[in-house]
Amino acid sequence: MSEIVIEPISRIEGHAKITLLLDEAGEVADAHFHVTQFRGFERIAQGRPVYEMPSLMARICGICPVSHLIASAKACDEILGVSVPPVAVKLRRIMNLAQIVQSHALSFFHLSSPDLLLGFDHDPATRNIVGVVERAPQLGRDGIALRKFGQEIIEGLGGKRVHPAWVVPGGVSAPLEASQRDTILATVPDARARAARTLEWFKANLASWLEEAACFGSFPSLYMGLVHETGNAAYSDGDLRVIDSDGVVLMDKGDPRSYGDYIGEAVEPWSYLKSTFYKPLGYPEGLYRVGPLARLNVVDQLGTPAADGELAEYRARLGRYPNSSFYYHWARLIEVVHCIDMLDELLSAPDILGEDVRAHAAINRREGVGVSEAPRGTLFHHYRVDADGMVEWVNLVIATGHNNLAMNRSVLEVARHYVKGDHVSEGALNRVEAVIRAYDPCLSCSTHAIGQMPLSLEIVSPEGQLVRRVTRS
Amino acid sequence: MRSGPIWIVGYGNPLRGDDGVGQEVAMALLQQKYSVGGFASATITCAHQLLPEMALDISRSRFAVFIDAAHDGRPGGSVSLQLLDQPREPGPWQPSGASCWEDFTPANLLALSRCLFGSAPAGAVVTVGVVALGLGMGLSPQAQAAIPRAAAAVGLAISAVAERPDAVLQSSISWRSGYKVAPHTRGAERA
Repeated sequence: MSEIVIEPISRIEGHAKITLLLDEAGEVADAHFHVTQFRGFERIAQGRPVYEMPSLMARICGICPVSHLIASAKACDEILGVSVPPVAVKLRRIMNLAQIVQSHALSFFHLSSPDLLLGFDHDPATRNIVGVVERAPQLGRDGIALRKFGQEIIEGLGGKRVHPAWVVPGGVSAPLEASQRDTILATVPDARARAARTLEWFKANLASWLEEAACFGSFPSLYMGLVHETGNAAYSDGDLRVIDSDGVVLMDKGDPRSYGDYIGEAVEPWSYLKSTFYKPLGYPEGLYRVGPLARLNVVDQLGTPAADGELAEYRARLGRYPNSSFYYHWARLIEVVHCIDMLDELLSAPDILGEDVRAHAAINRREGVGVSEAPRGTLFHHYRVDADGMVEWVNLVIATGHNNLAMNRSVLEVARHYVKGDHVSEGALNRVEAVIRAYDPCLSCSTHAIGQMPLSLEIVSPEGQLVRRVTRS
Repeated sequence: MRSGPIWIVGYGNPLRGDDGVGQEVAMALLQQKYSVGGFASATITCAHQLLPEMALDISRSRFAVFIDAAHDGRPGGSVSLQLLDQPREPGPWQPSGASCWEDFTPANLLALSRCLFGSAPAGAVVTVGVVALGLGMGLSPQAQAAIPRAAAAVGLAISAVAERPDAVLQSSISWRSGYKVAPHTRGAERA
């Protein structure tokens, strides 16, 4: 059996590599998506005061620190035994929605649009944000503006864009001022127009990607996400729902606190990323997906008119439960529309300026679980503390971990379609990477390549001899 | 003469020693702004790195100042001021030497502003030579001592160039202030 290695993968957040294992006939027999980073936050946090945890956990990531802030704060809320004031719940929600907008904008415009706009076989020298800016400046402007929209909300609330504070155990540290609210609301119409324009562009070009859509992780799976009691999407609150690819509900109103009853975690020797699975179906049959594609599958509706209109068109064209991971891109754009609508709604409500924004308490429980929908999917923070509130044990179930099994299977599917023997075109390699990008994995907060990261591909014979090496730099 | 605010960014990683000096200088400028009214017309921001989102604000400014650490062999704590011409030629944006956002340079950003928004100002880059870029917060004594001089260099660039957009002032700035005017290179050990 010979091997093809793609390392590092370009245009993703963090560091990873892909190994393709060829059989004697030169067909792709297996594939692995390796996460090559080790962060160790579950150990770093041990011995820290629980009140520090939201700020500490935000440092896990520079792209989605708000997700960790919120999930961590909710775990701390349980340990304190407090009921977070309603205004604070809404304010946390606002920050989370802003983060989803900016993160989805980064994923779509900066990381994936080069493939979508220029083509998966386009010259890699310009198959990046440079090429996007040259070919479609409006797309470049819209991406920049949408990311700026979300980032400025986060900065206004939390003091800075990367690793903001403000979300604390018990609520938030300060109420929203009228001037802040008005500043944000003034930017909503422009953001809404840009999101709508991008969505129209994507829908108009769907026919360009039919081959990719048919093999980018196009298999049945379970789906999981938070759902509000009304059946609407819930990004910061709600209960868990798990469905199968036909929409049969396997679990509804699942209590996040008892995630251990239905989510198992497996460790494979070839990756630092844990693989989660739906326990009742075992490993690896309990493969499920989270994130935009999954959220749009598990909810009944999103809950705002414009977004529900887009969702109706999406379901009319793809079916009620689309299975192809390619459509994460479409789902992502619909969520941007929805999040902007929600921001408008929340900020326009008269109670949003309320001053009761934090509940205070000492340690009342020794264990707490917080869950939130990160841009990439459901995120769990689970802490145990001693009587003094010092952290004894941490378990983090990261959004991207939920998708690990699905990403591996998606890589295999794409590779089998595009990689034949030792003839590996650059476009084929790019598609193998692109299916990972569709999931928008967040492996760390590091580089955002614009298409020129070095890639080394080695093809090794069954005897272990190097047959061919392809590099790009 | 262009209108709009002066746009100033101090950037770098404060968790990597002297790499955080850019942000420290920007915060010193903010202190001046709010305590004695200095830099009243400036928008001053701190960031970990230069990002494309900044291109929009830059396109609306009349002058852009970038404050950064530089690991290029200069003595630690030395201050350098480099002027950047206003991108005037229309055309495609071609970031030189940039393979990811961590390599985004001030010149790239000005060019991106011009490409995407049809407008970009001239700019200046103020850099402070570093001593150490190891893990940890806090500046070396040399970098700490350089903050007031770096802030003064920002002020000099603004008063000498932003207010006199048609003058070619590189040599005169060098003569007046004694600041070394040098090419801006990012440190090889940038975090």
